[in-house]
Amino acid sequence: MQLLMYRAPLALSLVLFSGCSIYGGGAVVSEQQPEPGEIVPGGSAPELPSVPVAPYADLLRRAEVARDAGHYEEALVQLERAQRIDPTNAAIYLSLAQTHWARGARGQARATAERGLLYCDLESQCAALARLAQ
Amino acid sequence: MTRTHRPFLKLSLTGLLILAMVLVYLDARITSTFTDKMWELPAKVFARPLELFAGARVSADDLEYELAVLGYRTVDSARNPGQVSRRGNRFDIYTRGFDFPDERELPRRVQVRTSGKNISGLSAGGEKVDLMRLDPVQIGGIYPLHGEDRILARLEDVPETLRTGLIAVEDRRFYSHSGFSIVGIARAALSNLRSGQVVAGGSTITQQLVKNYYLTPERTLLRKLTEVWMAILLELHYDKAQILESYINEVYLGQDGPRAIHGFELAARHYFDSPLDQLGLHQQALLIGMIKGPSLYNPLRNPQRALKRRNVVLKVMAQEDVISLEHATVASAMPLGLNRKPSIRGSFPAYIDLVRRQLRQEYREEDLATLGLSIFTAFDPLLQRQVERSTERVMDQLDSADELQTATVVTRFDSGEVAALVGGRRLRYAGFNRALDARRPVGSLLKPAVYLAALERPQDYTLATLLSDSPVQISGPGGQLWEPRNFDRQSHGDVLLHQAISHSYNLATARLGMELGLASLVDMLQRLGMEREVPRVPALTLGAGEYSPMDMAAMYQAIAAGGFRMPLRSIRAIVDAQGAPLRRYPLEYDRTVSLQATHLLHYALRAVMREGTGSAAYAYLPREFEVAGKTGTTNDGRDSWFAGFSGDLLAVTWIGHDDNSGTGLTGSSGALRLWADFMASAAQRSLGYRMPDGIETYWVDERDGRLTGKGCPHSRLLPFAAGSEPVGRTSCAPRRSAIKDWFQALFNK
Repeated sequence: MQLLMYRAPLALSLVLFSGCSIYGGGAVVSEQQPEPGEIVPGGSAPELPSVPVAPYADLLRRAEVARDAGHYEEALVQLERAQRIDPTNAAIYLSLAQTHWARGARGQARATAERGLLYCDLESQCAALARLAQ
Repeated sequence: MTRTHRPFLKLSLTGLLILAMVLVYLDARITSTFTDKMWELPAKVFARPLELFAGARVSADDLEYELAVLGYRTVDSARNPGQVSRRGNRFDIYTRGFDFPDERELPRRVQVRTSGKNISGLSAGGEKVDLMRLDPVQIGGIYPLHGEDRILARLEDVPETLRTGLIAVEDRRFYSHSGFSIVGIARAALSNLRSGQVVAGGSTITQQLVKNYYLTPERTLLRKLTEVWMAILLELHYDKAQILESYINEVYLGQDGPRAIHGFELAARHYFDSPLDQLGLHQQALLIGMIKGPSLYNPLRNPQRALKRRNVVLKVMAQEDVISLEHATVASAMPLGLNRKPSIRGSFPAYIDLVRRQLRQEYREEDLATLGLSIFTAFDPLLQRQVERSTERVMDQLDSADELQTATVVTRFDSGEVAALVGGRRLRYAGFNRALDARRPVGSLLKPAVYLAALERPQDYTLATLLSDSPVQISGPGGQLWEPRNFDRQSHGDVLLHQAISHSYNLATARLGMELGLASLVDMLQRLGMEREVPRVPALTLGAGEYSPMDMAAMYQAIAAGGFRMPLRSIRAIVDAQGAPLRRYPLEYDRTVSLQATHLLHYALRAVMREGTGSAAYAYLPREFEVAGKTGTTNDGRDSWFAGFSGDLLAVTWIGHDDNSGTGLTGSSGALRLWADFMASAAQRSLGYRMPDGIETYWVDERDGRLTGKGCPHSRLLPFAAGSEPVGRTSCAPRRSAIKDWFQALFNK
């Protein structure tokens, strides 16, 4: 129950913002919940205005919950489904890269972030991807 | 006395010993195999599921096709899973639901509205639905050599009337005998005696199961005795419910080409396109009746005979009080209720071949054919339909004599997934798969690797570098002289690098390739994903070697993806017979080529389409639709190639003769037409333009590559890697100009 109470505001805090999504509903980026003491590059969510929710917003939300619980494979399954639906959304690449980083696949995190940079428009998002790509 | 009895005693004891040993052997055979894993279950191969959401690019026609290949029935009002009603652009779908590897999609009634090429609304019970998946189409299976296919059914899922009807017709004493029935055998013997030949078997359901599962079909006394003994042993070890369930899954119910239909569940889907638990009485009776002669009473081939047999079964069911006389009368008046829609299964042999090859790297063939795996692929039936239509349309225009061959590979380059595949002109023929197995030179299709290797050295080469397109002789291995020529047999003097690509100048490319060195070209090909051995000869710069369309798709995949190599994938995930995930093929990127160099190459490949050898594509595509690509033609027009991409799809097309004779086609007049016809109907996203960090644009003079001013004569805006812009400058000052070329127009989008 306590966990649910913690998760609810977290889910609500998902920031939806416009990026290069092919569906016009905007990209979805969530706040990061790194392990205590761990710095996840590109992890701080930018403050952005809210716009219509993308159809796969729930996939990203579930991916974040899975990632936070350490279920990286489950998170990747959700994110890859979202990426197939909207392959030009930089926010999905950011989340994919963060998940790879969290599971220790640093090389894959870097390559995925670099790919995301091809699609990012927003400065904050590009900066987050660039940090992971380094 | 004792003497005379001893040999008899010995003989009897020996006989008993042998009998005991035989019984022990038969018993061991039964108990070791009669388990829940007794069936050989072929692997099922599924297409990608269609994702539904508001905004998805799915037209009403697409949705109707997808539902049709899924076998959804069109009804006035969708009340059961697998039904759809359509009014104009409104679809009311009762989905079947599906156990996906990641989650279960429950059956539900949803309303889908389409507008133009998109889904405009998706709801269920008045509530908006954000995202859902339809069940995936099964596009094929991997069967054992004997071709047995089945879908397992649990006894509790079998309709009561079918169970009791089956017993009434096949084995009335099933619940009272111990594996065989003396009464049954006596009755059969009497029939055989009367007719003078073997016309009846008198076998119980248990005996039939033993015969079908363990024994050969010949009719000998020894086999009959073995059958009886094994039936008794089976009944000793297992209860009636287990035996009946096994029989229901084992029974042979006809043939579908090389595929043998086993079990009632698969038969229900094959003959009626319906799950077993949704069959009507008339359909259940037909299946029961078919057991007597699956070929003789096959309703698809012998409908009248099947109808007569079905009505006999209904009569028996009424006589045995399985159903009422009224129900039997009503069911007897029903038509056969067959599924006459051609099945999509087995229609895509080229793609299944690709899946099979990927699987063989990790699984044994016999495991694939027996373990009941579910293979989830990236196959897209909608894209496949489009590429097949384009193939038929364009190939018929090019060659009415039906002699030319072709192959096309379609990928979604953002994920590296192969979405559609054509392996030859006969689309349903599982023969030579040219998409994977053709080995042909590729001509200019390989040139982008040469230019990419150059553009990775921005201090030496830019899009504005002057290259000499003049005659050249190059010494090859063994002192052989190689003297390439341009397609038009002309040399074009000094040309800018981007012009050499867009007009596909051979002399300039060969010179550039040799300047860079063959090692540099081979290295670039490998970084682009070329796994095949390439010949280290000067002619490599112009596409010498032997490559398949799939090899080219792998190479162009890396280019289209912006310099990221991804293994081409046909399979997304594999799940075992119990639904547990076994293997997932994840999305993985590997940046192997400079982002900036790839970006510059994209400019040149767009120029190919706008002003070079690929410009004929715009006879098919809307003017504002951005694509990039490259033509390829080999000596004497033996091979016509085109590889290119939009914002979402990459397609590589080859046209040629299997015997390697000339086609009279170039890349532009052959493969490009098929590619463009396909892209015009299938591509959904124009190739976007985003300048990566480290790229700047400058105005240059097209004649000599010097910097010049905007609006000056022969000025052209070109992208450069930062710091690599030309040093020399014309004396022309910038001025106003309203004329914009295709590249400048990109910045206004």
